[in-house]
Amino acid sequence: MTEKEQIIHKLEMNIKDVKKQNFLRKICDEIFEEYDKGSVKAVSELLQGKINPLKNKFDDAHNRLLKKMGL
Amino acid sequence: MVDRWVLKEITITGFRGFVKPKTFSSLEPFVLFDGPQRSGKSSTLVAIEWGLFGDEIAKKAIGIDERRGWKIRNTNADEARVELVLQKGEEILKIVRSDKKTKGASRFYFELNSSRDTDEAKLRAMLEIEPKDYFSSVHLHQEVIRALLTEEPSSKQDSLDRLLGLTALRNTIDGIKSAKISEVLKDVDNKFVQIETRLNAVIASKRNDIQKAKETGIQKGLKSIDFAETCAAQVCETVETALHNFANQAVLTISNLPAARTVGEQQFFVNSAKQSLRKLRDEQPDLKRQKELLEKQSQLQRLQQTYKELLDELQRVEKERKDIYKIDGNQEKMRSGISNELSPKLEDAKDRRNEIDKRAGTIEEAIKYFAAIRAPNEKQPCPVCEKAIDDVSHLQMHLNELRARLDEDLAPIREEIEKYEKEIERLEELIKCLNDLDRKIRTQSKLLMDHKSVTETGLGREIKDTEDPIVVIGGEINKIQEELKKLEAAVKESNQELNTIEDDISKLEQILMVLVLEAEIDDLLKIRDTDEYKEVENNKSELEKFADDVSLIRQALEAVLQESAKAKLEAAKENIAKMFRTLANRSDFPDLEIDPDKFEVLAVKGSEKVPALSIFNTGDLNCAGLSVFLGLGAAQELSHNLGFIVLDDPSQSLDDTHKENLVSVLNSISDEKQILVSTSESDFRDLILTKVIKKKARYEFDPWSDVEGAQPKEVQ
Repeated sequence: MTEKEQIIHKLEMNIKDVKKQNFLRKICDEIFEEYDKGSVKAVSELLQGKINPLKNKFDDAHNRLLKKMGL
Repeated sequence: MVDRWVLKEITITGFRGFVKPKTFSSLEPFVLFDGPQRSGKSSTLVAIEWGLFGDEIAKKAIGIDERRGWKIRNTNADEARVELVLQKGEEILKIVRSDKKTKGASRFYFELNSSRDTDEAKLRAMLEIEPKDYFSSVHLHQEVIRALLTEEPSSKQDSLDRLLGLTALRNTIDGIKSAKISEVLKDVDNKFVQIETRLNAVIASKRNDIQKAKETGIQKGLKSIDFAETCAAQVCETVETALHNFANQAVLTISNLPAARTVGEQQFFVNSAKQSLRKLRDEQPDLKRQKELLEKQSQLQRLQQTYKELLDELQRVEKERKDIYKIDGNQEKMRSGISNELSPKLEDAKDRRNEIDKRAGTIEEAIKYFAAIRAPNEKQPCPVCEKAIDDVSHLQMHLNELRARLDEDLAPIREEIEKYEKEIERLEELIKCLNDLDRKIRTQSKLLMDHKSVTETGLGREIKDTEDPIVVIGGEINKIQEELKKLEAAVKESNQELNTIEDDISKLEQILMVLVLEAEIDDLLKIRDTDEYKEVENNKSELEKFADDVSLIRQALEAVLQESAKAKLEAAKENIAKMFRTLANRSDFPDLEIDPDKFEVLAVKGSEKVPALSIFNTGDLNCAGLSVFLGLGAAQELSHNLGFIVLDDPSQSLDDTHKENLVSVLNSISDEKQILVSTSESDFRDLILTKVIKKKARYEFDPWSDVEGAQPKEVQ
């Protein structure tokens, strides 16, 4: 079993939800694909590229809420 | 060794230190590459890596920093090409790799049993090895051993990662760490917690505003119980009634005010009521009349003032003219005086002066004549009769006396002339002045007449010639002032009524301010039920879910890294200890272990384990590195299909005993592995040549040449 297969196997052992398994497998694939392209930075940028839109979405909603609160 | 691939032949062209094609065709179970530093030995060993894995050997994932910016092709060559021939039993595997793109030809292919393939993944599957495993168990680089000797934890860990083939896993974990997802989560958590804090602050601030608004309302006459929607509705009704009553009394119209049942409607009502109040203030008839009268009064005062100014000026100019008339008469009288009296007298005086001037001129000439005579005793002709005169000086004296008398006669005449001339001049100036005054009087009279006409328009009636306009205007102003006095009381009464309405509106505003603030506090207390709050919560949980997912992957990576390290170390544990015992041969700490959790190389004596770095010297640490590598390479559990190992300059930092021990170790694994060794050390070379049991092939490298590149030659 390759290391990647071992990682997927571990995740599948801990998580029973098939949808979540598939989602995690997808992220894993992307992480390894980015790493194969070159570097630690590529992995870091991949994850930042995923979390930043979520953060921006949160910030937008947060600002709208503060506005509603009169702030 | 029989069931794994071993190297049979290597051909290198234009790769790194090589320029021209070189073939290593007699690759025995033990292959020795010896020669001085920088002669091409390492290029030969690296060519095997490149042949197997291509450019991946220069990638960061491999973990060899020295390979950053590596150039594959020699600058004097037009192609880098490596051909490897491997053998397993009867099977022959040929691998060819080039950096040159040739039309119709692949840059990489392998041939097995005359069947050609270009799929690199297929080759790796057949050899059952990935680049990272090649570096951990086939090819030992000196860089790994050097890093093991350092006390810097990250370098040491990197080195062990490479020996254990875990670099990729470790770097991936580092990549996840450096994405700093936890910092993003922390920021989001802080912001979320702050919502509650800020919510409480806003509510407290609004409660404070309510208190202030109530205090202001009470100062305006409201009671505590008045701050209610029903009371606000009652005040609205009062305001509406008062506005309509006032409008009816003043015969004015205002638009209907909106309904005022809810707070929202009441706020709208306040704006409409204010507009109506403004309209009533502006349009109330008494006020309007008051404004008109004040304007009229001001206009008449201006007319009266201007009339006074014009009249004063006219009177001043007339008085000035009258004063001149009184002393010198009018222009006609003055002109007559000049022509009939002063001018003839002046002419007469001038004639008399001229007569005397003529005589005086002749005497003057005579005096000059006598003064010019150089010899007074000499007889000179008389200037009159031209006869010779004897006593000239006597005559000269008489002439001077005569001249003096003439001057005495001339002085009063001159004074007389001057007096007449000045008087004429004064009178002419006065005539001019009177002409100017006449002009001014005409102009001023015209202005006064014009202003009278304007005043008549302002008054709305004619001012007779018998009337004094100033008095007429003053009378009109008095009438206006009387009317204004009467109006003032009426306006005051109206304003009081309107002020009462305004006060009620102001009270209403205070009540509404309190009610609105209370409603806002109610809304804030229910903020958690709003869509906006739920969206924030959902977005936060989405972020947390993603962070959890990444954390799960990271945990899985770390677990696999640990397990893989443990499995590899466990499988090679005996071999590593055995190799170390043979190589280092230490009596105090004979064994070696690696802590798979802390990635620490430990020196072992029975149950006692201490960090190797704290007690090992450089040679021992080199032995430790070699032991880990050779132990991993020899472990049967870590299987791949390559039956050779490559050691690049393994005897660095080893003393003579260690070198001999290393040869013993190599002998011990030579049944399992084909061994390729490079060395620049002649004593180690000699040890290999004399002590290694297996059949050997030796390639000696001459010093490197710019034109030829590496120059190996087989030594029989």
